[in-house]
Amino acid sequence: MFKLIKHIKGYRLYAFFGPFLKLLEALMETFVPFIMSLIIDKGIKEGDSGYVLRQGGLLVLIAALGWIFAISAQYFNAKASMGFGLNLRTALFDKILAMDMETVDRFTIPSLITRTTTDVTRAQTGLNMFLRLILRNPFIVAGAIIMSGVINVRVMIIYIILVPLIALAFYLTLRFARPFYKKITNLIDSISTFCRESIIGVRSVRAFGMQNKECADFGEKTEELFENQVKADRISALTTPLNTLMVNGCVILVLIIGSSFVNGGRLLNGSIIALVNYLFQILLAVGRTATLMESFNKANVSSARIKEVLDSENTPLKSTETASSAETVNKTPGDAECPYVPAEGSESVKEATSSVSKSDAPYVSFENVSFSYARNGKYALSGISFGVEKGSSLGIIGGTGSGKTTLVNLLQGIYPATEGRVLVGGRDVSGIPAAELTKYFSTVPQKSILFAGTVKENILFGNPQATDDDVDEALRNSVADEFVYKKEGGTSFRVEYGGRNLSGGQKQRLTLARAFVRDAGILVLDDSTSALDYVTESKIRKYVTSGNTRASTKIIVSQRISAVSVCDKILVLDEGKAAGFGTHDELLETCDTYKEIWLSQTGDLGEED
Amino acid sequence: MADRKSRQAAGEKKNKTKSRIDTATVKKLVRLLKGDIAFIALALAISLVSIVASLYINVQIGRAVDCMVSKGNVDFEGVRNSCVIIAVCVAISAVFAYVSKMILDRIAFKTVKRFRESLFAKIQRVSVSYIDSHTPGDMISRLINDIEQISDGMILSFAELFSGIVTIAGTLVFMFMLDWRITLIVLFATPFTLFVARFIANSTYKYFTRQTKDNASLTSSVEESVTGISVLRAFSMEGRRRALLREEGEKLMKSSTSATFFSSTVLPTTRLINGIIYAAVGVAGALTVIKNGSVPGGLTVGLLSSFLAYATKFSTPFNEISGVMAEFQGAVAGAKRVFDVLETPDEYEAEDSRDDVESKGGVLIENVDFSYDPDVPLIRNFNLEAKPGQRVAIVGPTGCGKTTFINLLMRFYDVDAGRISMDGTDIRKITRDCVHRNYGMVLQETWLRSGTVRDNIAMGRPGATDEEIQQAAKLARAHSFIIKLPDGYNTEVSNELAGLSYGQKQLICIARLMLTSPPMLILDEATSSIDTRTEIKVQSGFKKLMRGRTSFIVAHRLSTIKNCDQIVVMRDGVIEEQGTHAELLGHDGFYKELYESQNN
Repeated sequence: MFKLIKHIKGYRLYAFFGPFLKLLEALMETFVPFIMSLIIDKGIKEGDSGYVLRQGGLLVLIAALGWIFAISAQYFNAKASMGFGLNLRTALFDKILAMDMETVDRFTIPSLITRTTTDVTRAQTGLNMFLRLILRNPFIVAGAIIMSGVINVRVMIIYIILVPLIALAFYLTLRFARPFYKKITNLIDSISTFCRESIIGVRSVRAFGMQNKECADFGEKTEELFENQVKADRISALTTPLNTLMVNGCVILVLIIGSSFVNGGRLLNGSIIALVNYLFQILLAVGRTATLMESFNKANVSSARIKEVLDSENTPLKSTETASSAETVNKTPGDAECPYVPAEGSESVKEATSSVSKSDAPYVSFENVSFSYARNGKYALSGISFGVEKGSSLGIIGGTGSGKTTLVNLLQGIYPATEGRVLVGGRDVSGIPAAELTKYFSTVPQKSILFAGTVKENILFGNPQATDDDVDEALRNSVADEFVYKKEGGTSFRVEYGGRNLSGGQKQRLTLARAFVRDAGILVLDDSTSALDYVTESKIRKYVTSGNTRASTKIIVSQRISAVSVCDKILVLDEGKAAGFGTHDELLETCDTYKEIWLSQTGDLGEED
Repeated sequence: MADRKSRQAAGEKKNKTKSRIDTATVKKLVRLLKGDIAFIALALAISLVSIVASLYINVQIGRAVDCMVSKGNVDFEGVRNSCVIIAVCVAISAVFAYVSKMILDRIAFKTVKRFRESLFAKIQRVSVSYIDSHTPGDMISRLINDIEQISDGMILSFAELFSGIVTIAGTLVFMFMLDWRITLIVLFATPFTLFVARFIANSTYKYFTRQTKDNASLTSSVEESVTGISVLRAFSMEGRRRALLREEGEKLMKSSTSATFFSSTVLPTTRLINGIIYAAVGVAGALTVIKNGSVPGGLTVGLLSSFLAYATKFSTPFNEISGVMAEFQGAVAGAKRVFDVLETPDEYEAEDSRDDVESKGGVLIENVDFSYDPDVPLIRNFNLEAKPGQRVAIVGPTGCGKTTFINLLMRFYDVDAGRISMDGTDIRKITRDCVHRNYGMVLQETWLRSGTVRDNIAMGRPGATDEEIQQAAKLARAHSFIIKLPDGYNTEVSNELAGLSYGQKQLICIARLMLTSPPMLILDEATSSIDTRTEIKVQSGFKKLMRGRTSFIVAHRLSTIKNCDQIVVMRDGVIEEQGTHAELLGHDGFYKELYESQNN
């Protein structure tokens, strides 16, 4: 948590005054037993009612001051911790936007989302709790020890020795119970997963008549949970009785020592009462801290997860040309606004100022390209070479895991080639700033991703300059018009977060429209018709392979022969290697893998072998 | 959300609280907890002793202080006696508190376990349509969170409520014994704390609602942005996104600052009121001691300190009790959701249903109508006859009713009109378990249970020998890859190292059916997620499996079903065309259109 403390920037004053006012408030509270002892030792002993009333008034005044301090402290603390949260979130988001895909993969997307949302919330709540609740306790302990010292130094020394012992006892019970709680959390997760599988697979469970077995297995899991809960409870339930024992053990000690001090005339009995009260204050404060620490730990776990992201470094790029281009990128004005963009990143988040005009539309080539993901070192692609003429079409076919998507990612500079060069328009992609490189491509990814907003806004992401007619045309070409115009508001229909109010096929057609409207030289379809029925797919295929698209060069990735067979050239991938390159007819003659795929798709399941 | 609102509303008007609690649910809960009531009572009795013992300690501290009058005037024996009593009370209080907590927690854990098991068992018995009509997340939330809430709210909160009441009553009794007039001050002033806390909680509510809303919208934006990060880059949209997130973040900061601040004023305000009460009690007590002088039996300095301690303890449980009410309402709401499922009738099975039908593979479907929603007719006037050993393919666009047809064959759903019979017997006169035994089913989603490969193959026939299992795997062409797995047949299917591919999982599912060897088969899009080359391997397994069995094949890819004995082309719930591949192509109809769109 405290390693992230630099992110309190802009809210430092709040973070200072909050605790400071808390300190004042805690001091007020520790005055109370002392004043009470004065009432007893002076007011009662001397029968001075006026003194009693005056001191009573003082007690009320102290309570009121304490309230004012506390309320202002709460305000400052809330400001500081929520500001801290905002800073963290912004920093994380900037970091993620500038992150290369390998690093994104390493963290995984769901984990990055959790870290930016839940973890930040926990961290800011944790900071607030620390400033508001936890910090108060050491102040009270310190105040109470000092005040007891004012009354009697020897008793104060006892207290100073006792405090760590008590804290230790708390710490130990928490520590011994923790492994069980960890296990309990895991068991609850596993119970929940088990149920999910059982419910989702209800048809299979019933088809195999496994209902009783399922119940028995479930019973085993709940039994294990029960046993662990009882074990954890046995330890953690010790906390309260231990607290009682220690508090009162100390009380007995103070009474016995105190009685001889009173007998020796060194103390009055009002002071004994005050000392006992300070003891209670100290012990309660330590107890509270212990329980709060447990929840504070959660915030610490979250903070560590946030820090991991903020400290992550982009995988260094290998190409030598990177350095020069990175320099130009870093000079882009506006970078100062986002300090988390790593200096070496060529993945500038600024929109490029230079634009690629249609006239210098590119020519794509791979020169002996290999690629391995850093995470497992296995080659996903090796020794790939091919070229695509401007204005022609390339089909890429291969089974799952053959490297098709990796190839598309390399082409667009999403991952850097491990070996070899990828050229677009004659330039090495590793030397082209990301924002400029994206202008070459109009991509339809495998997974349909849309954003909250209207249909039109989503299409315009592809080309902000597009007119309504352009949008209509794109919708028509992606066969999306038939459902869009049935929706309320047509192109003003609101797409919800992530497109969750649309079906898979509808989302896919909109992502196609978004790509069709874009003015880019190369259209890339990465297996992007999987959610469509054959009739719709074939309509879209006809459009894509016609000469009417905005992009003249097309790269079509698919598992289906029918989707790629009409391309000018087809690249056949098999386990990361090029198994063939040529036209459909050539490949049927020369490439066994291609022929096999072709047979499997036009062949027949029913034939006996 | 609705739950929180009702809790909130309950907070506003205390009287309304009672009418809002669903008494029927509470009664059901109490009935279910009947067996534990004796233990709960025992635990509460033990806790009562513990609380009284701990309260008595404060009197003794006061007594001990009173033994120390002044210099040279200390009754050491009196101090010692008090200390001994304190020690005994502490021991009793600590041990009893521990024992009572152990008993109560055990009951709570046990209740959770029992509820979960009966709910899970119920899920296994209700109709498939009931399960289809609820999301898995909803069911799991009932099973995990709602049940947890029942135990928290009913047992633990009840214990907390009890100890709160005992503490309040006990401190009152002790205070009355010490000085009844000062007690009245405490008695009338303390409930203010409660009202103030309520008041703040109610006025903070709107800030919390706003915070929840802002948080939800920020979370959605983050989710969408991070998930779509590659698209954001591909279209250079990062700048706009950052601005959007910044804006939403600032909105959230504002609302959460208000929510946090206002809710954190409760504790200081409570402390303020208690501080004032403390001052009043201190002053009133001191004046009483001065007035009484040394009247025997009156309030003394030491006892005044005891009194102050009681006054502090008296105010503490009030806030806890108001929390208990909210917990309790949460528990009742949770219990209602759990009872909703528990009270769903088991799937109906006629008493004279046969359980011993062994089909030869003849299936006759006559004039069948079916729909999930009476307003939206789905399958209409469906007729089909499958002779033993025939292969029947069902094709058509998404949503045409293919999967629904499977649901009807398997009796996951019963037909609305018409009938489906197996070798001449209406399947509604056969138990579902028996219908299921006659079919082997392979779905698009492979279903493996955590456990070893062997367990998964033996799923349909738990008593199978190793030899039979291997034989089945060989037939399914799964044996060769299984023996290459880290632990062969004993490999855990969830084992990451084994890294079973989709195709391999599907082969295990096929081996499973080889073992049970059912007379009829259903393949529902069983190969649609596999790439075509892997499919070749899996299909040779399927071919072996289908030999001699009546098979129903739902397929997306037409090339895979060309050789079937019958092809049924469905569109919008009705049979559009029916025949062999050659016949259908000759027709120039919908099938031909579909087929051609896939092959050019």
